[in-house]
Amino acid sequence: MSIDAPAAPAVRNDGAADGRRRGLLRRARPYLLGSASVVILLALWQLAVAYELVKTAFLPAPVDVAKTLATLFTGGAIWSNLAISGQEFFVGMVISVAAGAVLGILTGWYKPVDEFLKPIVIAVNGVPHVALVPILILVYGIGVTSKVVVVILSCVTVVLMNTATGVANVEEHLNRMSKSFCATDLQTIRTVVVPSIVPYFMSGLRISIGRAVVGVVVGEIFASRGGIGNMLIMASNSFNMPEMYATLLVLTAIGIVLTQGAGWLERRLQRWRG
Amino acid sequence: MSVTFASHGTHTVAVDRVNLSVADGEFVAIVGPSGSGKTTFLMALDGLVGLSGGSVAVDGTVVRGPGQDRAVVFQDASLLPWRTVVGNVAYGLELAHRPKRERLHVARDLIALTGLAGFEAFYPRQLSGGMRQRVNIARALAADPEVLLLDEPFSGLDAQTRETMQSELLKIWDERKKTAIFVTHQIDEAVYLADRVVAFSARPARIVNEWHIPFERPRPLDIKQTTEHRELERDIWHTVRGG
Repeated sequence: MSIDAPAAPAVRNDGAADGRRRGLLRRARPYLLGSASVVILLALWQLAVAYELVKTAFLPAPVDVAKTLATLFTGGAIWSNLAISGQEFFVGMVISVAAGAVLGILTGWYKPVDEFLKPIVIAVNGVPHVALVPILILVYGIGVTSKVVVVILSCVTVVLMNTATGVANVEEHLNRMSKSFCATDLQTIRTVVVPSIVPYFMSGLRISIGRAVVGVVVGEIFASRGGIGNMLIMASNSFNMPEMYATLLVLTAIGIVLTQGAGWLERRLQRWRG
Repeated sequence: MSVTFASHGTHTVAVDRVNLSVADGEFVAIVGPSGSGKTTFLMALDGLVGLSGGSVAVDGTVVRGPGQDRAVVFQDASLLPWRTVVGNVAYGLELAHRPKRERLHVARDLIALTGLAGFEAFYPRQLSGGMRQRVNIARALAADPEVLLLDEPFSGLDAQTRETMQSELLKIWDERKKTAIFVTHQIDEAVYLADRVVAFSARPARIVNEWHIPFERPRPLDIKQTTEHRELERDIWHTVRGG
């Protein structure tokens, strides 16, 4: 880099502007390319329908799906169903997370609790949770309760096991330090264990979100009075393909929002990592 | 105040029949070969490690576990990475349910004393090794213990930072006048810091000899270069090697 170039400013300014433009392009590139792949896929889909390469009875045109999607929201049909599924999801998740976190910490901290709970945890975790849906609907009816129970059985062991693994991985020298300052077990758990296990707990939470969505939808498809899964099966049974695909899109969007939300929460809880 | 300690186990004997009395306000350094049970000894003094025999007493009270009368300065700093400097320094006070105002007041005092002013809101990962050890020392002092137990706190630091920390520690110690038991394998460090140096043998640790260090306080760092200092170091070195 020279310092005696009086004639250079104009050139250098150009260079800087150029660099800025290139920097902007580089920053925008992931969004541009990402959107491009979606646009291309939608275009191919529309073309496939237009040239009758697929039967619209099974795969309607994306434009039709989009129109149906809009009417679902403007017509208001979707809101009450979202409320039902949302209630099943959140009540189930709150119970799973609370019970899973507390039992996970106890399991990780006290060996006898681990030994006591182990067979039940392994069994509940081993059952394919979707296979429980028929019996749960028989026991708890076709309302909200049966889906809440499906969600709990799908998620509680995941949160529990991840939390317990986190407790086992707490750095021993921090526990020792805490003890040397006369901490009670509860104080050590609160000030050392809980902050340490955040990443493990969060990965349990993220897996649980996926399993809870599956539990709610499968439960509703099997037997329900309402909910997103109910809409899906009703649309499918009446061969209303645009509505079925529109509902699927809504489900996908919910999945993405929930997963992103969990990521945001994890970053927020661990701001000290910088 | 007296600390006495003795133990004889049947399995692995880390520390065997060590009798040590430390006077109130005395600075004792313990040197010995690596893995000689010096750290085990210190952890037993804090009550973190059980004894297989014998006892530890502070001011006549038998130690049964960690207590407010003792505080450890750990080798690896052991700071809570999700707490800022203030949060780490005030940790012991928080566990003791002291009011928030008092906690902050004490923490700020010690942060100033240990040369951490301006770093209150920093997280451990943002600090150098030397600064982390300053937080470690401040945290131990915050509980206002009678005895400070220091476990090779400067062993992970580079030579220059180590010397700075040694003279800083003496300044802090002059100010607070705590009884100090300092474990190290650096003989020059032991001689520079202590009123008395105790040499441990290899495992199982026993006391092989002890030296009273005659230097006046405050001690400038350059007394390390004096013949008297060097001769003491050499004498201790031969004992530790030979023992």
